[in-house]
Amino acid sequence: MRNLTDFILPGTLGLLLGLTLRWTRLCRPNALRRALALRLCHETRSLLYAVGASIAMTAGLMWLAVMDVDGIVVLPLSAGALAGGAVFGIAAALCGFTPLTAFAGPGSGRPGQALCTLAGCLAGTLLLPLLAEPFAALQALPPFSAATLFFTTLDEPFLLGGGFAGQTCTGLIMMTLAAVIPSNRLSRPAAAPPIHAHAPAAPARTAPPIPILPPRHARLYAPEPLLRLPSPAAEPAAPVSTDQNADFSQN
Amino acid sequence: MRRVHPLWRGFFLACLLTAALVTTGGADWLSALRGDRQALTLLLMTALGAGLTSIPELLCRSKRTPVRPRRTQLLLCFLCGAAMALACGMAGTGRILSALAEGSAGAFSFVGTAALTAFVTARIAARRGRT
Repeated sequence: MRNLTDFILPGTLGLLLGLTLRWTRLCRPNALRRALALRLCHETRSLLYAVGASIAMTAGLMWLAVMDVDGIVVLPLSAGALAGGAVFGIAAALCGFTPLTAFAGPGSGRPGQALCTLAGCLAGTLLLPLLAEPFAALQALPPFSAATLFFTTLDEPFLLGGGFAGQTCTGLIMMTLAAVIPSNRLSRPAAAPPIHAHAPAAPARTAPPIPILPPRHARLYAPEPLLRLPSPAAEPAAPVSTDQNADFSQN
Repeated sequence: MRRVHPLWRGFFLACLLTAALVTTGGADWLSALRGDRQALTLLLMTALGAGLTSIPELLCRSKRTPVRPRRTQLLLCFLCGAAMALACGMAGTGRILSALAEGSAGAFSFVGTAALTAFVTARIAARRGRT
């Protein structure tokens, strides 16, 4: 049973998570930078939709009591969280990895950078015990509030009412935003309007007149005319004698 | 492989993040680097899954000359990794996405600040790279 919870279940989930991170292309530095810069691309939509759907699904699971709300460890709002967020954002935008995507990064085409980021994360984790005291002091600074955003837990304080519905709405807003924003790669050039819909009827195509040329050897094979009449232009008309007229009249 | 809509990809990612939150308490990489077995298994298998998917692409790329990153880039990545670890130490946890899904006010403020600074930094970096 311990193997199932310690290794098999997390291993299976991790395998699928790696596949999906690669599928969403968020493990690529340039793609993550595009998403963080809110460029209109697939990665921005995927990331926004994933965060929103995760918030909404977790709220639903807490409402259905699949998740134990008493087991939630609330991350307090403090100066440490704000300063940490600022440092994290700058670092993530500069290197193009977050710690989770850096784990999936060696297969992203930039293995050296991903491994260096992981090594840096490890070094920073090793440094943390040395800096525990100043960080604890920073976490105690105002605005300190160990609260949830909505009224979802029984014991912890909350900033806004609304409960699970409020949290679900927050997720749904993010999902709607992800669905609404355009994506440059999805946009295609506008299709030409159909001809038969509203356009005037096109004129009927008529075949161009085919010039009738005489055959190449028409002179050779042309039959001789039975009676060749003199053309009036070629030969001037001969004066008609009165005798011939008399003959005609007799006939 | 047929292309899938980005919203479907985001939905699958959300399902997996929620499943990891319910079953193992979320992908806490800070605990993984400290030696927690569950978190370490999850993240190592994440690396394996991403690596398995990238095999066809790596095979296609093997014919080309690989582009070696500069030392300054590697150093920058190392420093940024250390900074991210220290940033999560400042906040007090490494499971930011899970805390965000649970609705902690601190996680919302952390992610909001991170998104704002990352937006500005990424825009400035892109502008400098263009010029």
